[in-house]
Amino acid sequence: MPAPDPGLRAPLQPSLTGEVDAAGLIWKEGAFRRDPWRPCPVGGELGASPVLLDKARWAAERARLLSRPAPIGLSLAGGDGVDDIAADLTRFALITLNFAKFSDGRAFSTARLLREKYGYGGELRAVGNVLSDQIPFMRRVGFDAFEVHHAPTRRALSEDRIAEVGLYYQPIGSAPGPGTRAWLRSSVG
Amino acid sequence: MYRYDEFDAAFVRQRVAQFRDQVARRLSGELTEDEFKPLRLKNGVYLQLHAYMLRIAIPYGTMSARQLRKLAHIARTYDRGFGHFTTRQNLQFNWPKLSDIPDILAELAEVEMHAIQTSGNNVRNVTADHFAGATAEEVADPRPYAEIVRQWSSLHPEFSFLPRKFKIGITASEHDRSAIKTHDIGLHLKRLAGGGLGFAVWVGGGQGRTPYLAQLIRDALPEADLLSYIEAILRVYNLHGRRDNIHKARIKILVNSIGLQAFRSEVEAEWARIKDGVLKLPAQEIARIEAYFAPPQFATRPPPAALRPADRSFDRWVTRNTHAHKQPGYAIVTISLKPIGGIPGDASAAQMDTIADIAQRFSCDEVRVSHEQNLVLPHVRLGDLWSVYQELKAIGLAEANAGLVTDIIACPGLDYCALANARSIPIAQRLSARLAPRQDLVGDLKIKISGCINACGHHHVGAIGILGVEKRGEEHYQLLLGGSGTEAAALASITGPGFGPDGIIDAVEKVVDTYLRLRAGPQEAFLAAYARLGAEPFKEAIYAST
Amino acid sequence: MSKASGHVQVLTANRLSDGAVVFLNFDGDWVATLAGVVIARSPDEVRGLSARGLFDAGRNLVVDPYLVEMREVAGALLPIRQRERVRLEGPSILDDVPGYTAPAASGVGVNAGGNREAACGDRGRRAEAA
Repeated sequence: MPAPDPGLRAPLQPSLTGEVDAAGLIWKEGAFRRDPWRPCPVGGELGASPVLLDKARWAAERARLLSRPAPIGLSLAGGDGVDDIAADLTRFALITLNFAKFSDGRAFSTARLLREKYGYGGELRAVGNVLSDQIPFMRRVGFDAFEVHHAPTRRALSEDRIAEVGLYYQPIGSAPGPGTRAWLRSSVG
Repeated sequence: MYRYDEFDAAFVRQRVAQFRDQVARRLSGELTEDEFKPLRLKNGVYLQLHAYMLRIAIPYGTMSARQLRKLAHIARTYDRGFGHFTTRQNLQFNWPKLSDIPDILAELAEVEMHAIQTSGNNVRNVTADHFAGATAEEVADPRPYAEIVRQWSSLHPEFSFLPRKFKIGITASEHDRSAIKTHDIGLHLKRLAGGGLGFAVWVGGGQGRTPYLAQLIRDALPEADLLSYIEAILRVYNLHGRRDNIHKARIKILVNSIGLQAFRSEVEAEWARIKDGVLKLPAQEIARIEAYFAPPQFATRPPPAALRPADRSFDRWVTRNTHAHKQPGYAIVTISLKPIGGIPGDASAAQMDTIADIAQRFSCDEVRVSHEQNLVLPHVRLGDLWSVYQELKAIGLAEANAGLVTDIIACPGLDYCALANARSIPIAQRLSARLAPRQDLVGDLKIKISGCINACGHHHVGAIGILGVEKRGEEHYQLLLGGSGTEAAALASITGPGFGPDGIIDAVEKVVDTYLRLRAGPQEAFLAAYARLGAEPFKEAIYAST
Repeated sequence: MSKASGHVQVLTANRLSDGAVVFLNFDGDWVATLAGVVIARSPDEVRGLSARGLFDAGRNLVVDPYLVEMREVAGALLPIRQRERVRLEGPSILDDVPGYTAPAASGVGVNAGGNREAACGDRGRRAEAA
């Protein structure tokens, strides 16, 4: 995994990395892991452990939650905007973006806005329909974790077999990395 | 023309390897068809009525002789001996085997060609004026910008799963040969106040079920801001375009539903944030790409006193099929792929080889594809026109009908396409045969035929447009009049009830008869006459009993 | 779906590897001709045929299976829809395609079968003369 972009703002609480587990659903930092997060059921209790809230729940309980010691994560649907929660982003150690169908490409833009417009520095996780052929694009726009159910995709990740065109014609983010078409950047400074 | 450097060559090779892997996983069953379909579409592979179809990109319609010969070779080796040039300046093969397609793509990569993003919900082939770099009308060659946008949009990680396809067209002349107002983004390259180059940017055009003409979103965009502005438009579209209904998913629907003002505010707010960032185009980079499009070394010998031996057909061909070139002593030649009674836009492998030879010897090794499904030899010396004409005549492609009523645009239609409701090619053939005897008398008149509502034949912007539909299991045709894709863009209007396959031929002939009868004189072209007379006299003629 | 008398259903799809139009025959093979094709008449038969299509698509033999409504006329099967007639017979204009070369009869099917494509090369219809 590339080093985290120094330009991003670290969240108030560090992102969590679960234990390595071949049956775990979360691909992060080169391995499948157990998920330290759990979703909060609608109308249910938050509890003490790291919990994922949707936007509506966050908005409803924001005042109370701002001082919550346990980690809070935000789970966003494909159509959820992020401008209205931009001020709160450092509160989330994790943000998940849902790909309801793999053809629903909204989260690619949302991810870039989170990273590049708002400098979100926590874990950005792709959930929903995550397939091997989209993973290279997801990485480039800023996802650093993936919830993967699709068996062939899990195998491809475990065996480091995700086929990608490693040459990029577009600069994405502030540190495009090796293989980027240099001429599409303006000179630095 | 653009030449790949190591980066570009490695890119297409890796892409071929990636697709080979995807095809293998499909054939083994590791990928289901649902999972494979968006992947194959990104490499231009459709499943059509009879077989797979492969759509090969011809960026902004420009090819070298070597590339055209490779297409001929592919037609012969992997397909059934011919190809079809499309309304987006691409080429389609109708019979490739899925198992052969990785090899076909590898062969294309050898000559710097590919099929990347010729389909799918991403940015498609950026089309440009087929007379670019040759006509005196343009303010500058638009193709370097098309090349820049092509590269930037290739495998763009943010914009590979848009709500729907996205088409960009670019022109640099006041007379718009690229139909930019029918595109999702239309770019008009022009000189800005202050002297630099820039663009009028049009957004939200598109045909299909609900046609719209594009609206002007920004009148004077400096060239350095081209990519950042397009990125802002695409980001707003990606986030807010509808994804619930495939017929409401294009950007034209978004622009028209929230209104141009609101759309523009969203775009410009985002653009303000990114315009001075990493996508600002350095002048030396624009110049570097422009250098690839430098004009060829033109000969400066004076043209011959006489072009040819006395020959009326040659005269007609020069009058109809050649266009003034910016370089004295040269002409732009249109090769009509619409022989009378023939299939619009098709060329055999042998014809492609011969045209490649002609291009190499007589057109500075360059040939173009126009969105009108014809080919163009951009740089032919006047003294060579006779030889070019003879060689085209020998392969049956010297019909002097560019822009005439027999220069018909027709989609492949139900003969090939799984989406079609009716056949368009036989209609085109019959109309061509019926109207050929009077084609010179009639003058400029574009007939455009689509076999279904997706409008790949561009019937909404035909002076005479024909839309094939299915009525009780049988083919049926609607007639539209008065459309145009030029700078004076207009959507055609439907005349009334439709016709069967025989009725539509007669109806079109009646339209032509009415025009000839009522026009102010031969100098009043069809569209002008239609604007003056209105639809009524035409409708009366079409629907009169007997 | 077989509402009109004399209308039956057959199962068609495209072969995965080469996209060729194929039909399910009584041996359970996908072949490029209607000879020996499975004909469904009753609603149960239609359902069974449809399910077989999905099953074979899942086995990656074919893609996009669907039922085609046909009329039985003097022992032959004719598709009701023009679209299906074109799909069965091939493009109607092949005689006029410049340089068209019909494929060599290959006999290669998913599980052997006739070669419909060769027939297409013979039968293209001529354009109407003015």
